[in-house]
Amino acid sequence: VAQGGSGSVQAQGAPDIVWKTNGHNRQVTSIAIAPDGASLASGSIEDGLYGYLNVWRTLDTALVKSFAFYHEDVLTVAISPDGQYLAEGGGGGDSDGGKTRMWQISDWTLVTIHDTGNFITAVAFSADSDFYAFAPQFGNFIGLVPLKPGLRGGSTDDAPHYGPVNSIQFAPNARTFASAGGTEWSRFGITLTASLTTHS
Amino acid sequence: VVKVWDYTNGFSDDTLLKTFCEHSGPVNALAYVGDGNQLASAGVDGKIIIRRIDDGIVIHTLFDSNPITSLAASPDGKILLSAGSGLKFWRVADGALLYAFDKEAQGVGAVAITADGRYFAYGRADGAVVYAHMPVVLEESRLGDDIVLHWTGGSGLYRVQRRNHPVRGEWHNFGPPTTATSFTNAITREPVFYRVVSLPNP
Repeated sequence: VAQGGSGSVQAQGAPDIVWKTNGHNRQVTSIAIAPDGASLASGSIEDGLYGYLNVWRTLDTALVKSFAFYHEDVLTVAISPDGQYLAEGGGGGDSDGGKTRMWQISDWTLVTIHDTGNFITAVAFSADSDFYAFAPQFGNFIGLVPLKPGLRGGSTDDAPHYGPVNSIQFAPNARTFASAGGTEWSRFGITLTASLTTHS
Repeated sequence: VVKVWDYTNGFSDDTLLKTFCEHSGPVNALAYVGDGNQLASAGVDGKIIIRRIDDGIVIHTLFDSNPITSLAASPDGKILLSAGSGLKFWRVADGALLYAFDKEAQGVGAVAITADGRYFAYGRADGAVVYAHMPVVLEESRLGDDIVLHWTGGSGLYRVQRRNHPVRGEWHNFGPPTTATSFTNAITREPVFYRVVSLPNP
């Protein structure tokens, strides 16, 4: 009987690394890869002054674009499947507010900026690049923004997760998306139970 | 908690389609797998749950011992990558753990797989961003009296190797380096175990 080795676990193995860059000096929270594979966006938490959103050329790790946000964490990034838009979410700063920004990648024009009451922890684009969704840390709503005319977006009024929305993913082949969250925000070891009691 | 929303006719509190409550803690990450009709979720409880969306039936519950921060699925939906304390590659069809890269990647906060499925990237607690080849994943099938191996991942240059025992003995090269991604050979009376290794691609 002949068999393949497909079931073997290589616990001591290591990734077959093409490149590694010390592009951030704090926790990298988020990565998105352009649909053509030519570039990669990474976001990191604030290093004491700035949180960074960097865009790298995958061919040679050249820094294509770098955004530095004063006293803000970058917590989530996404690139639209048609390659047109880059979005980030996060927050901080003097107001302790949250923001999500979206740029047109061709010329880095800032297309939209939503200022919300608390950190944005999830951004996502639909598979057909028709919609952009975002949600804040305290999970008090999810917003769906149409990117083309004639489409209907919307938002929830209730807190869908009684806590932070940590992830949004659109279905590859249906007009549905999934959201995930919980009662404490612990992705990076930060727990905000005190702030969350009012939402539970 | 994981929720699925239908936005065909707009989006509001009323367009909630499904609520899945299998996790015992906050859920950090989601990925659509299979043909897009299965949803994987993972979080602080260290579990990866893959369920069928339409009826909510859990197909696999995969156990990592540590909280999971991020998930990514290969474009064909067959491989799921989880990150947190290290990186793990899972086969969606049967839930098998294919690779576990625990030492190289402590504190991974983010992972992504390229749209062509050839590379993955991860971001670490120390600020490093790493770009790597997807590991080689073999699929085995039978065609008459032949064994057919098909593989994905790796550098694009491979070597087929074999030995006569599933876990013991030296691997022997079988044929020259190849850029092919499949291999067919007659099934022999003696047991033969194959693997495919990725070679540095100049």
